[in-house]
Amino acid sequence: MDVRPLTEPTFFVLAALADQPRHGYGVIGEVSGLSGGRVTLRVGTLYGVLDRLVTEGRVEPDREEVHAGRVRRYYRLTADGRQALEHELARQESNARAVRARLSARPA
Amino acid sequence: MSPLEERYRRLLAWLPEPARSRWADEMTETFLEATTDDDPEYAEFGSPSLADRLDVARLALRLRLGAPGSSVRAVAAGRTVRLVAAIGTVSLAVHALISLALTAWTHDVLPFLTAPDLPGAVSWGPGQAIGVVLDGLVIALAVCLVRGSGAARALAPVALALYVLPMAQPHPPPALQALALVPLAVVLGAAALVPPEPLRPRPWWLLAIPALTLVAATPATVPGEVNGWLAALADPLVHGALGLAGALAVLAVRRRAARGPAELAVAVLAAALALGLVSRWPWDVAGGYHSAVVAATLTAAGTAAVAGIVGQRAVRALPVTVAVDS
Repeated sequence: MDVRPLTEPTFFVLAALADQPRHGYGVIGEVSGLSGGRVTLRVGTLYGVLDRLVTEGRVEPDREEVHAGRVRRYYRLTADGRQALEHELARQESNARAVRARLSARPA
Repeated sequence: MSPLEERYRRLLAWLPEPARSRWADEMTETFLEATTDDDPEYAEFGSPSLADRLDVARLALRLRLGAPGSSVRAVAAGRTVRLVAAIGTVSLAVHALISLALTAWTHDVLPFLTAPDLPGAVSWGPGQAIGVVLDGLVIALAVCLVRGSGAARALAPVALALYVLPMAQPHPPPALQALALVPLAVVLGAAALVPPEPLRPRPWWLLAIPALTLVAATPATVPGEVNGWLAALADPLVHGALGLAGALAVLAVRRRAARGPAELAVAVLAAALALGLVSRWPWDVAGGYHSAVVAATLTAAGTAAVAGIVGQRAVRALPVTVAVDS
């Protein structure tokens, strides 16, 4: 498995699909919510990331629904995608712990 | 179909196949949902924002240069751009390194070498300072590009701006200045487009560039009257043209499974060098220089033509399907 750190958009797209399948606009809204409004995914960026994640087998289509006469496609996380997300979380937590310990150490 | 949907579909026509067939409907749906969610009337009079246009243009460019999910041909195009950037920036960095060493030598700041005995005082001003900064920048750019750092994309336009700055003079004529800029613009433009990934496999063959440069520049440093042909050989564009002709010969005799990107990279660089060399034609230097520059121009043009034909044929033979391992 590729163990390179995930880019921020990739990390948030995987995180947005962690609890349930979502369609494109749903992912954009969830990413904005998860990041406290700090990350606003543009549509081109989202589909660039989705295209790569589908090619890599980390995300797959879940179902299609018709909404206002147009088809919405939902995506879900695969086992590989969940593993990549957990690996990235562990990496970020380890970094945060190390830096937190350094910050709390009082200078001699 | 609303006017807004029509406008988004026209915008998404920028995406290359097969990504367009795969994503255009869905992206249109997401664009419409994002823009008309709060304002349904926007579907009648709205149009894609500048940010949306730039975002789609960036995705289209990435897919045309071999991003995951693009076609085998796009992957070949991406490799071509990467090779142009790597060969070009390493060549520029080698000359920048030589220039830095010469500046340090003439200003007597090298601990193990005394400064040459030059007639008159060695000047130092804003022009020389910019030159030193530019040399450092170009070396950093080459290192970033070979190591796959994203900083290369930011450094390349700055380096090009610093190259252009001293060229904005009344002489030589603007047309010749523009021609002289072509090789720099091609190389640094390619460096600005390359995705931040290290070159694989490790490009040891790039070491041939400093070796060729040193071999070409050494005869001109021999004391005494400088022969025009030797002076021309030390010119980066002249020995660059000869180096590319040599590279084409090596590519022709080597047995390789996949042809295309390497030949096209040689063709692009040789064509850029040929145009750059034309800007040297009016130069009035020691006898033999002019003939050497014309010969180098013809060599570069011939190399570009042959490599271009071979490369184009190889790339056209590739399928338009999605690359499995891009």
